[in-house]
Amino acid sequence: MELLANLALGFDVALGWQNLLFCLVGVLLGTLIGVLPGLGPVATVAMLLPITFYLPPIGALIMLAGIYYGAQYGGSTTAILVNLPGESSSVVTCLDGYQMARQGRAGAALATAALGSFFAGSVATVVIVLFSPPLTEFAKKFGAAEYFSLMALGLIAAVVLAHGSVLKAVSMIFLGLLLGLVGTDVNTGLQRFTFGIPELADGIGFVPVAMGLFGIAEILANVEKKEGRSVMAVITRLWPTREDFRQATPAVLRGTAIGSILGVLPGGGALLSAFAAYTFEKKIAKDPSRFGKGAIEGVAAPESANNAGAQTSFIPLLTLGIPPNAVMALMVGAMTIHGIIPGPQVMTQRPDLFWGMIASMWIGNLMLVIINLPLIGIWVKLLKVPYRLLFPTILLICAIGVYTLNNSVFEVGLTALFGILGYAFYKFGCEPAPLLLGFILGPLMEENLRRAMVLSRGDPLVFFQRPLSLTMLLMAAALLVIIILPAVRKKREEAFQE
Amino acid sequence: MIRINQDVAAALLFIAFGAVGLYVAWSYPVGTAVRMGPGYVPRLLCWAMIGLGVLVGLKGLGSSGVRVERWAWFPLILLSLAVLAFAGLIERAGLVAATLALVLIGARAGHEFKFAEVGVLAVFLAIGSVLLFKTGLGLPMVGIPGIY
Repeated sequence: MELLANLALGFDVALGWQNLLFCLVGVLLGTLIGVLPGLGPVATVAMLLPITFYLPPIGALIMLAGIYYGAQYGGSTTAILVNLPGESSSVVTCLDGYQMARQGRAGAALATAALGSFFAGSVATVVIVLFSPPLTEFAKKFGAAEYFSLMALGLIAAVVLAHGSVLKAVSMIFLGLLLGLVGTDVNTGLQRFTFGIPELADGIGFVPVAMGLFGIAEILANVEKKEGRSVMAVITRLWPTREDFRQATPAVLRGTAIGSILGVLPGGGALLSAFAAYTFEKKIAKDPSRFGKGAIEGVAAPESANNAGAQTSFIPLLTLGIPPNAVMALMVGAMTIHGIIPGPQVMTQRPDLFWGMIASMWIGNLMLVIINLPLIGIWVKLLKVPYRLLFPTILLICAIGVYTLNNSVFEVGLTALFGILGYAFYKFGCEPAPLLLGFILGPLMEENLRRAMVLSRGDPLVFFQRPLSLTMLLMAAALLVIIILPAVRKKREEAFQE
Repeated sequence: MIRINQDVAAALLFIAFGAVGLYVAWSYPVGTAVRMGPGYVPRLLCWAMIGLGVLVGLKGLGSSGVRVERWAWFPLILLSLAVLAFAGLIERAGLVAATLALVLIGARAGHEFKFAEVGVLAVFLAIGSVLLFKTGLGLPMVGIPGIY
């Protein structure tokens, strides 16, 4: 019954007209930017972060969450209509969604994606409500050693489950950890890696890092591509047929289940969920050859899965304070700026914030369905704006966003620098997401490592003597060993190929 | 001759970061494992960076790998310049001038550049950003120095 009381509190907060408005604005802005080709949720959230800093903490987090689903949703619209995935998790949606659109079933594909996402979002909200309290209780037993081991496990799992080279991803994490150390050392006051620049005394801001690596670098990568637009599909009929419903419904259910589970895992979230759901549908289909030619399951399953995964990835953030993916790393940054330290204490100390945010997730999903199906015409018009006019506009939003954050010219320059670095990473085949995770976790890990070592009087065995800590380290080691085994590695590459 | 593929290039970058970090962190007190000084973790991480860089590099040398695509230097420099111009102008010459500079320089990076079109966009965005950020959100910015 306590659950119901909590939920009531949550809806009380989320249904306040102010928070409803923040949620609506977030969802709309997220969709608006997410629809633009080449801008994924990470870039969108990074770009719009500065706007939310002027809001009260609850409003800001509600709006950011809205931006996240909105961006996710906008990405699928682009994927279906013009075959351009706005973000990596929509790559799968392109396969069958665009084919459906070419067959004149664009409306059905969009409606399936929207309704599937809404269902998945609703289920994922329930999952969060059910699993957060026990996990929070569990997390309260954690000491410094456990936290350090948990973060190590999280980072390693994030690498294993992400795609691309494991070795390079580990290097990117370490680079992120290193960049996270820049600034004044909390224990001694020593200025580390600041090169005598006073602006770096408080460390490198995470907004310039995220905006540079994800926003500017993505513009750079897009600008050099030739502007070749696929023909835009025409929407004739929006509502799916009875036959569509019959085929899509079980796929939505399976996608939701897969997404809800995979979203919680470190490195999971939307992308992995969408890929896994699509592969699964193809495996169990009676006639796998239909996939890639406009099978409605190929839209329904991954779209539900990515939304469920996007939402359940809030669980580790809200209960343990550990961000499982890059978007959640941005959320940690946003919370910290508002003076909220993510972790198990949030639920007890700020129940209004915790439950309000969860309730608003469901409301946000509802808004997406209600608003976006009628608004689809506007998003389509937006897609017709040529990229040569869009990218200077996006660049301007990034620049103004970073500047207004602290009125700091230095941070704008830093953003440009990280943009160049991000472009280098893109050219060298290095994923920037692990770097951002390491960057956010770096200072926390160092602090917990040092504290654990002091508490144990310098006995490094402390990490192995405490059962919880040991379990997590063993899991991390097992993951590393597994991934190095050639057989598993081949399988993993295959899985990401599909 | 060493082929520069993605892995080798990334390795050089990682090793460079580790080496520079180590050089800078050399003077930081390391302390002991019990009382770690502020230099303990940085040094650990820098050595790890160098080690990982070497591993990535060896892997890159051992296989043909993916070649590093040509860099699009022109857009890279222009877009960076555009952002830097914004940074340099925003406090000295105001939001309008900074916006105009960013859009006019940045738009040159695209495949097509029509001055009239970009000019209209720049003016539109300059007015829009002043209205939104200064008039609307009331942020402490200067639109045009001395006027608004």
